[in-house]
Amino acid sequence: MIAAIQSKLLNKYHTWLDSRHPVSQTITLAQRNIYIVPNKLGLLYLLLILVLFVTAVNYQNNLIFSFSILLLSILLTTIVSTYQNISGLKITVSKVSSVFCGEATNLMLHFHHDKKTPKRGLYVGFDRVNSAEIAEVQSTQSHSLSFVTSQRGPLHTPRLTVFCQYPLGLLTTWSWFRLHFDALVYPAPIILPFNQQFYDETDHDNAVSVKAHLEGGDDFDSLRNYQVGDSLSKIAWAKFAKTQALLVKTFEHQASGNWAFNWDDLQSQSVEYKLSVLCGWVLQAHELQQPYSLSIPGKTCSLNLGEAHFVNCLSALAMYGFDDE
Amino acid sequence: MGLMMNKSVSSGALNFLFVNLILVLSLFIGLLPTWLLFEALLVVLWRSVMYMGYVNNPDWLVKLLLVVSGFTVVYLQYGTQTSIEAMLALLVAGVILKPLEVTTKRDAYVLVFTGYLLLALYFLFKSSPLDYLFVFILLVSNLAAQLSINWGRRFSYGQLLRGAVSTVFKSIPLALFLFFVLPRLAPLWSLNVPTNSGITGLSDSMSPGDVASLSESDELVFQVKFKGEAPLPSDQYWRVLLMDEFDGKTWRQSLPDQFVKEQPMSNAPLPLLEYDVIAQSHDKKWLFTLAGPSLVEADSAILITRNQLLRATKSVLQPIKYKLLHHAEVPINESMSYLERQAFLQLPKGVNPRSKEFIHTLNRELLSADGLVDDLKQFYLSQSFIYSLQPDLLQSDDTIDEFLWGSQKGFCAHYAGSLTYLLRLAGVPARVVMGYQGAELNALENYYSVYQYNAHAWVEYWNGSQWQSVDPTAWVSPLRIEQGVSDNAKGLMANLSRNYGWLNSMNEYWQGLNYIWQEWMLSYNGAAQDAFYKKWFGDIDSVYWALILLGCFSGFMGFIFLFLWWDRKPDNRHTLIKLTELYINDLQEQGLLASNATSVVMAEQILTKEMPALEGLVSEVTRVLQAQLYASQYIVIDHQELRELKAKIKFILRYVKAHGAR
Repeated sequence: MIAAIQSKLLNKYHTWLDSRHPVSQTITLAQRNIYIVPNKLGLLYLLLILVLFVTAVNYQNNLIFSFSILLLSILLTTIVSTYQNISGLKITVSKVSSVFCGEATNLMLHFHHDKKTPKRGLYVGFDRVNSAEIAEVQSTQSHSLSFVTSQRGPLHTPRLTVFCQYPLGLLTTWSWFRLHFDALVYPAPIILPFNQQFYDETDHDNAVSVKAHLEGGDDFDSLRNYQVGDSLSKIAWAKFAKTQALLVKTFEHQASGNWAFNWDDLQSQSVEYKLSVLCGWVLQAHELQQPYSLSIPGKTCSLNLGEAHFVNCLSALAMYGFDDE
Repeated sequence: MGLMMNKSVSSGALNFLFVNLILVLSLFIGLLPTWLLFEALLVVLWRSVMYMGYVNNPDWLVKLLLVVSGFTVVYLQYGTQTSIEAMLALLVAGVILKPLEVTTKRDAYVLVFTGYLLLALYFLFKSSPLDYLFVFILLVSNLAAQLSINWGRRFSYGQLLRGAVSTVFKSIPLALFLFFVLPRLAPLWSLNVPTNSGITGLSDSMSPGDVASLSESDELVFQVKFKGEAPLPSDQYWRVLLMDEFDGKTWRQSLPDQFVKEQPMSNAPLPLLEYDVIAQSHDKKWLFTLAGPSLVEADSAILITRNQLLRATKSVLQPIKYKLLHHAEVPINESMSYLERQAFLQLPKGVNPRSKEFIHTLNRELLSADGLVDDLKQFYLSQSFIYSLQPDLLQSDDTIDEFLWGSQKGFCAHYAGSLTYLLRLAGVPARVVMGYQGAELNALENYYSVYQYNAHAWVEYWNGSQWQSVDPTAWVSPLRIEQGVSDNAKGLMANLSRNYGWLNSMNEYWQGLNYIWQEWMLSYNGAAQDAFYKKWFGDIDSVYWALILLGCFSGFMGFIFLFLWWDRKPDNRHTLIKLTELYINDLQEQGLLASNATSVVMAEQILTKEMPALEGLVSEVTRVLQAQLYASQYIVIDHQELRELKAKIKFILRYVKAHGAR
């Protein structure tokens, strides 16, 4: 019950944060997006002040009174110093390499500021726990965050946070922000042997059974280890019976002529599955230096070869369904 | 808001923490059991050596031994009584092993917070300006230790100390403001845990036969500042205790203090005397006054007894400041009850036969009480009494006889005791008064200080209508009364300063500083606060008050935010634009460029073609200008770089001028 309310509140808070801080390529930390709140140690410190204050009152001791007031003033001054430490910090992103879904990408963050005093004790990360300390920022500093992608499309990262407990560790000062990274997450490739035949999917998620009879039957060229997504029909069962090794038969004799990867050739119901298979084909063709064309709804890449074509095709796959954004 | 990934404390921070802890604990040398402090030092050293890899973390048995011995020492020293020292010692014994276990930031904070607590509690024992300075310095070091925890990976100790000093100094204006403004509360609950520090004040009994130890202490008892003309120091008899009961050896107070209601002073005339007293702490309730205080101003914590003595309602554990007014020379205690009369005539039976004999030789029926005192004065003067702080011990039961006709050597207690005895023998009610006499003037701040060695005893007798005071010591040794105690009773400093003039004046300055400190820091209570406001703001109503406070507060916050403004690299963009304009315009004037709307890149191309000698310089200048003018704003050129750029441009322009455009 409480957990439900908590998560609901947290959601509200995040929505509110998002509404305050739209996605952008550069973030400047300023009054608008900096939050300062005493942490547990800060509360303990306040308790200490209270104890001293009561002692001072009960003993009518002005010196202890002045001491406790000085401690209090230090805490108040620290609000300014901690604000000073984090404000004016600009965070920009540099070009991030595109990756296949499920892979980790390095988000390169650049921190800079035009203040005299260096920024110290800053942490950056996706939340308070998964964060790392940034080295002292004299005027510029870079820090890379590893991010495991989980969704195809334009690279969206969760909210990032910068926080510090500098100088005295009594206050936590933080900012949430969302950065726009100019990168794509390609579909996670599913490596299937390409065949001009149609593939159909009866088992929705796991495998594809071959509707048309695969030519050659056992006439395969090589064996490789089983990967998730491989068709069960291509597993070398005979080998499995002997060696208990799950091997997949691959066929290379079909690698001749121009390959045309066509969306409509795939009978699967799942869009993501189709994209993954197409992505796998594109990868294979690129590796084999095999000219290929790609045709998906709304986008067609004509027959070509080379790095640019490769990126083009992958981008098209990544952006499928996102174009209207 | 948990701790971050990097929870451990850096070794540099640890070193700082330990040094700081040792410094803080060294404040308590003499206040806390030495073994406890030694143990703390041992633990810190162990930890340092452990860090260097020479020893291992001591095993649990050693740790247990350390803890147990710590608590045992506390128990042996203080037993089960509750005193502040005992509680403090317990605190130290409790955290003593902490340095061995500090690895996380949280542990480090525990040490730092303990440091703050210890520093603050030090003020329960000591309160001089020098002590405050020590604590202040240690506060800075404690703060630096706290800074080190969060500073990042690399830091120098100088950096930390500078950071701490800057933090403290930024906080001082606000702290001062709050100190003067925050209301002073009355004690929330009665918490009279006494301190153990050996206060050698007056005792509530007086045994003339015993050795004089009191007079050798140069501890400050109280300070007094008169408004207007002060009575001569030799006339300042500060009354503290009245003793009526004598058992043959020792004088004691038997009558309980009876308090009187403060006399209402409606149309009060100008007081004869008005003075402020700052009394140092002691563990008794008595306070100091001249004879006949008629009003204690605005203080419910102080009472006047029927005998016109001053008493605090609670033990004076902290320095206390009060104001006294004397409106007239009020005779002390105009009536005397039968019980009181009995008490003031009480004598031990069957001792001192010679005194009895002596009194009988005086024709006491013919004499008034005053006359009798005159006769007795003649007696004291006729004998060869010697004033001495090291009198012989009186061994017989007839102490009075032995003193008067035997040793004839003694100090105030002997004279006051014997005179009271003789007066009572003659049927005159009399009592010994204990107090202080002979204050020392600080000419700089115009106040008097009274030390323990000023302790004195004299006599009050009933002359038929009122109490009259008489000081037999003055008869015997007028010098004691006029000049105070002989030098050897005073401290080393006083003796030295007597011999060296400059030292004397320095001492006086120091004492004066102490006095101001006392007045402002120690006794700035609710009443003082009201007076302070009245002096500066007059009588104003609460709305204005709120406004003024709000104004002051926002002023201070504004002052702090000024630091944000200062924390900015200078923006030289403006200068750069001007410099570029100058550069292009000048080239155009020289006829090199067709228009002054040429870009610096164009100018570079033309210049390098026209004057190949300049090529390197021009391209450098162009690069810098380009970068500065069009780059995003965080790349900021500093003054040094700007100066260099200017010089280079000037050189190019001079060169162009000299060689002329073709």
